[in-house]
Amino acid sequence: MDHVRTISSLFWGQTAFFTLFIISMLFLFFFRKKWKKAYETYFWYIILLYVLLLANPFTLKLFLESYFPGDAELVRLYILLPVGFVIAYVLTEIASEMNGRKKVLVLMIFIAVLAFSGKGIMETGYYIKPQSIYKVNDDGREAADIMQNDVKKDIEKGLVQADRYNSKGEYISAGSPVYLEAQGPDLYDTTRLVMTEYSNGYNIKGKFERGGSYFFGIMCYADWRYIQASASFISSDEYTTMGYDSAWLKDYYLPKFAEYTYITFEDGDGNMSKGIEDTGLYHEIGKTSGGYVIFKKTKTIDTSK
Amino acid sequence: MLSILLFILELIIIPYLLGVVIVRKKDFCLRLLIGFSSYMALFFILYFIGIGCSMRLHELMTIFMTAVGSVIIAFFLCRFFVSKKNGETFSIVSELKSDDYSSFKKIFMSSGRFVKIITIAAISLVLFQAFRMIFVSPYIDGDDTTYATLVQSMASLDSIYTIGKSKNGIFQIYQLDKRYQVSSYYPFLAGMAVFCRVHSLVFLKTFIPVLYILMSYSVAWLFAKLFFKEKLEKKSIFILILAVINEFSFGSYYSFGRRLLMWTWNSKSICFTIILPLLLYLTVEYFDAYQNADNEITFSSCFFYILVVNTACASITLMGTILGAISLFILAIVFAIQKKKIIPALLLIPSMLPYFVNLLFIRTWR
Repeated sequence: MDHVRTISSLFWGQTAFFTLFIISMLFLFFFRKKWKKAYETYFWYIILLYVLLLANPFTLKLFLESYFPGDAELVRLYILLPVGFVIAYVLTEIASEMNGRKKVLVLMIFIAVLAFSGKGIMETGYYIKPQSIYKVNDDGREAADIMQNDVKKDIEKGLVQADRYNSKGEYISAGSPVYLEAQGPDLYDTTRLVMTEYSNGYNIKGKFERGGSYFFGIMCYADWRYIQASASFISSDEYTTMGYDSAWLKDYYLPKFAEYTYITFEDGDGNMSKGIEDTGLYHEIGKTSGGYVIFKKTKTIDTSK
Repeated sequence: MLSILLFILELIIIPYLLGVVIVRKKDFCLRLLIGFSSYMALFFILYFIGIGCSMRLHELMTIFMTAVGSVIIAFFLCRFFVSKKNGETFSIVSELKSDDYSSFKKIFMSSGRFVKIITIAAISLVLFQAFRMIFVSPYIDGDDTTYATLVQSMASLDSIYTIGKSKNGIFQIYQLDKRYQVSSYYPFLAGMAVFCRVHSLVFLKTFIPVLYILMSYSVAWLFAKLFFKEKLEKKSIFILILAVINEFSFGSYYSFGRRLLMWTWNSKSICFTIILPLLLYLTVEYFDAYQNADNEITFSSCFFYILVVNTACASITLMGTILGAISLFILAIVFAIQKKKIIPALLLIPSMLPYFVNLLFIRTWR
């Protein structure tokens, strides 16, 4: 039953739409003869969905074990509920019952109720003013350019195969501005995937497959050439272990992207830490506020062991 | 400008023409939606052939567009010769004409002031939501960034591969989870972006949302027509209220509005906002057609549309497969009991073939 409660609250969130939906369903039931078509279309479909699936702990458990690994995935079953359609239908029928000015007034009341029942997109801050036609932020584009130029250099040096990137050498995956875009309101999931450098030498099966694949808290794979992360959250030790021995950093102390190689140094507490040296100052990645770090893989690590 | 024209051509005009080939009912929304679904379904079938033959993305797109173009041209040629044989005059305009035009004309020519105002308000709000996406950047979550990267990788590397080993110089992009492996949705987007001559990020974040939002309201318009028949006022109020609900449903992370107005291009969003409601609408029409032989859409046509939409739904990751199958299964039970008709319900089982094949594929892959 816990799953039933959790996914229900996840889906309905902080809105009054659940109440509106229940009221609409009751209206649909009481006026079933008058609103026959909508009743036939929605009512029993929704009831059966709840009985067989959404409010059925046994079915949910079955799905949880077979296909959906967690509540956040399980809540997607609610996709099947035609919530908006049912509420809109009932409100339309009620408003249409009125005449003249009453109809206008009722409609305005309904719109006001809907507006207060939920949250508008504009007030949630999920729409951001785009900084480029790619709709990614400037830092993202800067980091993307760094990766792109670096790949070009490596292609010229023969370190990576050119045909793995593309013939034009422009806006290739490694240099795509896509990676750093997710700097929205929720910064918790900060690590972003970067380019795959396919290598036959790696055995990435097993260790990095689903279930055991969560490396630094996200799903990523051993053969990525670059990994970009928020400088605030990561520990460079984890990355160096995986062969990411080179980095570009931009954070509170280092406000411009610059390339660094890790060194091991002794911090103030006498512990050995990994980080970079910048004009005589030791700076441990991950002990800063804000900013980005781009890691580059320079070593092949056999992750199958 | 060229990209916009190409986008209109490949994602509105060609799917609509394909819809004209498949749907005899002169309904713009239904033709566009079924046309788009068949577009996705055909790509899904060719995608598997493409994997088997180690095709590059541009090769697959060329074959796909050639196949679609051939079907459309063959259809219009057939119509032309049949009309000529019967001594009728063939007109492409009358073939393409939809009853929706006269419906809208009626609203603005002969309806009352209230209906006009409500209709204008509803259309304005829908267009505002759609075209606002050009000027804003919706926040995209971690998973969606992965998908955007996937599309970008396929487009830039000219590859359809999300799986498999290096073969003939074509290499794998990601060691993806099984549920993504049999999905042709992201290669479809990558191919379309390449065809439009536009960067895939611009395509996903600017072009696609406008189309999908309008398509989602097209499904709502089909429901409005189903419930309210010729009552224009009710239809307009329905769309207006639905648009208001979508605009204010951001209190929940998984709401319809958030899927539609934020993660529009995501596979789950298209499933949620377009494909599954369309499947529900078609099932209602399917049972109506079985009971009433005079129905505008025939029973066999309805069955074919459901098959096409099921194939499109199966092409959208494992999520689409599971949800489509569940939805159709429950609808079959509900309508079989309500209408006391078991045969059409049982006949829906073969239309679920794409789901079974997909699930079998997922289970046996590797």
